[in-house]
Amino acid sequence: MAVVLLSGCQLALPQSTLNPAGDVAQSQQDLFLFVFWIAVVIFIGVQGFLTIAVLKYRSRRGHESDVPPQTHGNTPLEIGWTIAPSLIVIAITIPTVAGIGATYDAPSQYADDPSLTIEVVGHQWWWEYRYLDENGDLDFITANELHIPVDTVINLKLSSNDVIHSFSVPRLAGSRDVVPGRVNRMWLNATETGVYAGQCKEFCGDSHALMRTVAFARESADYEAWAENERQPAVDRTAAMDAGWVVFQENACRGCHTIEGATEDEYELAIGVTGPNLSHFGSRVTIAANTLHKGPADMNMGAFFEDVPTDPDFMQRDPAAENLKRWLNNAPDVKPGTEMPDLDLTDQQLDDLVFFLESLK
Amino acid sequence: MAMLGGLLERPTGTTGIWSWLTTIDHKRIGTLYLVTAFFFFLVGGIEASLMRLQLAVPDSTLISANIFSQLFTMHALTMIFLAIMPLSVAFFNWIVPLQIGARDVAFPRLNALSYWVFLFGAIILNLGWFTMTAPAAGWFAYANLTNTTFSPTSGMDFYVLGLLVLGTSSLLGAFNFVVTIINLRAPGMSLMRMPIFTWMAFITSFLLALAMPVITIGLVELGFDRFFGTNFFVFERGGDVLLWQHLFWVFGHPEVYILILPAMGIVSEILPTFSRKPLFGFPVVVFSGLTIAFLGWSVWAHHMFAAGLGPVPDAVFATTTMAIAIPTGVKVFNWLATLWGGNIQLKTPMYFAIGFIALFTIGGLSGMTHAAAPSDLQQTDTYYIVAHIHYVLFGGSIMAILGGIFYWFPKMSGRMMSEYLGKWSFWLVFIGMNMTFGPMHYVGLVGMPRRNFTFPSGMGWDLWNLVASLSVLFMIAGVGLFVYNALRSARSGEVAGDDPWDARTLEWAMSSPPPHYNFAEIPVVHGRDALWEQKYPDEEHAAPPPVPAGGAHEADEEHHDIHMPSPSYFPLICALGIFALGITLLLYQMAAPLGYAAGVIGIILLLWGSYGWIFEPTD
Ligand code: HEM
Ligand SMILES: [Cu+2]
Repeated sequence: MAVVLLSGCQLALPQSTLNPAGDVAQSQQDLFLFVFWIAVVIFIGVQGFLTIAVLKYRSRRGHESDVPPQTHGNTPLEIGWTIAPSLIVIAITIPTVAGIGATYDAPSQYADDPSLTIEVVGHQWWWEYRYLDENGDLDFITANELHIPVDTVINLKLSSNDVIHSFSVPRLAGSRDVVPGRVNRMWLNATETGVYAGQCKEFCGDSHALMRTVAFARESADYEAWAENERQPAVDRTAAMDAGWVVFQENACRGCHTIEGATEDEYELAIGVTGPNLSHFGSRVTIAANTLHKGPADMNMGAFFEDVPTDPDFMQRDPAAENLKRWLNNAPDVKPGTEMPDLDLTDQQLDDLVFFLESLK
Repeated sequence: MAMLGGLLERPTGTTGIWSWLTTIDHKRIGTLYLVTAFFFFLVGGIEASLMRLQLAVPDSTLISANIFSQLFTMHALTMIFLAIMPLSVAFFNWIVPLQIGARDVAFPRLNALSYWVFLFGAIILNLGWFTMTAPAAGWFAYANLTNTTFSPTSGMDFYVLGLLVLGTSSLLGAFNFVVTIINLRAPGMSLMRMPIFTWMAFITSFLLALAMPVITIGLVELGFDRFFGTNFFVFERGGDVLLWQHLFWVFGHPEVYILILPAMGIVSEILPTFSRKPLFGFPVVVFSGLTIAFLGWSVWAHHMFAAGLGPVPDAVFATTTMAIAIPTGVKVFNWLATLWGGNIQLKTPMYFAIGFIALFTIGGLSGMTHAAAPSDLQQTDTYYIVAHIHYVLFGGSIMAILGGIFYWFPKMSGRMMSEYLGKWSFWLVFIGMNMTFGPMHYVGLVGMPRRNFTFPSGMGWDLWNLVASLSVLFMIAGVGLFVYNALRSARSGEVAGDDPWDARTLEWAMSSPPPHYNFAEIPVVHGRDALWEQKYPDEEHAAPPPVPAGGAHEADEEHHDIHMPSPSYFPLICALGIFALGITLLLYQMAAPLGYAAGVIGIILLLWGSYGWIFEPTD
């Protein structure tokens, strides 16, 4: 029972710490379970002893005022039950200390694995991912959806644009804080392809609960194809997109979002950095740091995480783009306190804008 | 000289509102603390219930994100600073002087000042509720979320000023009890003959005296950043946001022992009394308390394992945290051994004490799992931590405090609480607490972060959140019943007599409630369980007829002339001055003249109060 509860393999638990899909999460789970089972044994011992003591020595009727032998203590016992927990504690401390370094940097056994460095920037309340090339130069920028190749050492450099956040995708690795004024580091790898849920864990203001993220672990070739697309500028503007582009330009959108143009001047006015980069928004499946997903509005988050990996046509499930329209029309209503204003668009404007954004593959 | 004392003569009334406003009797001050803190315990409970209402179902929109942030921030601050800490102080006040055979604390007027300053600090902290701008950055209020850019409302000002004022109260109390315990023990009561609760009060007072200054520094720096534009926590201008975390947790970890050591003291009194045998390994329990208090200063960064301090600090703090589990375990073993071989009376206080052992052990064990730093990176800031906190603070501190109230209620009021209702409230609280906080271990391990005003559906969190929310009803019923029981019993409970539990320590050697001078004749102490040894002089042979305790009754007549200091207005006047100074900056922000006025009034009150205090005649 406890094992099923704890491992949770049977249930869909996209953000579970006990359902590892990467080596860091795996070793964290191993350490947790090691301590956990020791704790269970102590728990049973203490509660068992407590129960027996109470049952065995509870006062019998008519003997309430008997005075039992007034034992004051017992030195060998005291020494014994100081040494015993000390030994247990030492046994736990050794793997604990031994494992700490490996939460910062990949240990030497991964030296031959391919590696990739990504800068993670926390914003109230979304994530910016800046992929670096082998030379450490900026390769491309995306937001909220982290794509990584499997069996690759992913080094994350964490920094913040505003307050403290904490980056975690529990199925891949536990969290590390994202501290303004510092660059923190962690690493992770994915040993299975899949789609994993993550969330900011350090309280960062009102919409902290809505600062989520999604990690896509893919085969290297698939990852490369995705990355290659990300490196390209946004798709050429077609006539059909024009109406939406006008809405985008005429409202505040371009002041906060970037869309990288194919030609010098195509999208040049959209170079804002206050909000997520939208150059390839049409290929993302989530909205506003997974506050909403692009599936049908009544689809719950658990179902989203189950279906997205298996359904290549997921994006076609909600042609009306209900969730996206909710967001575009009144973002602060969806995510309290967000810097994106209430745009209050007409239905026509919304349709145009949705078409435009979804064309940005 | 007397005229210099100011315009006020010493009040003399012993009934009515003024007698409470001017009292300097440790027992009455204890009652004030108890009632006020229990009130705030209920307030904190309401805040918690509202949060559970919101989180009963996924995607709930009942409570807005911002109000939810205020609720969880104020819930923690209220429970820690306005409920558990002052409830402990209520027991220090009521019990410590009685246990050590003293007539009062060392500085009775200072004691009154502590209470009034506490009350005003609590008011300042809660002022935000009137405008729905209570503090909203979490109880540990990490910089830089707390600066004026990210927390533009007055919420964090209430936090800074409220906690500064509350800290003043804690410091005054701490010094008072350190001096009282060192100096006012009855003849013969060496340190190792001192009752265990007094011991824990002693250790806690040292922790308070050393920990409050640390957070005071942090609060002053934060206050300067907010009010005067300094840069302590402004990283863009050379400040450091992690500085706050270090200051906060250097205070914060000893603080958790400030919350638990008095509870351990209470339990260590209840267990021997109702097992009818001495606390097992008394010196070891004392020394493990001291060890915990000492090591408690070396573990603070276990709250910062995710902060990225680096492998070496992480390893050091993981190791020290592991080490602190040892004295904690030793205490548990000694409590178990106290039960073993006893003649266990299953009265309500004993239920709470046994419940304490069962639940606190769970909290200690989960603490051990997150002392393992690498795996704590998964658990930190999830509901798993929320579960840990509540097993130690609710299962630990609150269970012990409820048991302590039940235990000492006869001494305080002269009447017994109802056993029947008491057991009902125990079971309701015990079951409710386990069903609310137990599932949070699981919810946290499957990834639900804490401090979320809502959560999405289908992540494996729905069911257990609902269970947790529904189970709150048990706790509400249990606490409600407890309050009803206390109120009813205070009027019409069975008359208790001096020593209803056949207990072991000196507070039971006098009438219930005790006369205002406590001991007609200061007792002379010959052993550790002073009263027990008087009642059962030949402990090797079971059950001699109990000797009626103490001599207070007979002495009553002869000792009418025992001289106790009269009540005083000046503690309240000084506290009002501190209150006015506490809200000066707030008022200044609203309108400068108001601020000046409050400042001037505050200084006048404080000067007048201390001047009158110094020159006050003794009666
Ligand atoms: C064996 C004893 C204990 C150990 C090893 C232990 C360990 C820890 C650790 C490592 C954390 C940090 C977890 C995290 O945030 O990731 C923590 C949090 C906490 N502990 Fe304990 N603990 C123990 C006992 C206690 C006791 C006795 C109390 C109080 C009565 C307590 C109160 C707390 C509180 C309030 C927090 C959370 C503070 C917050 O984040 O709001 N712990 N504990
Ligand atoms: Cu701690």
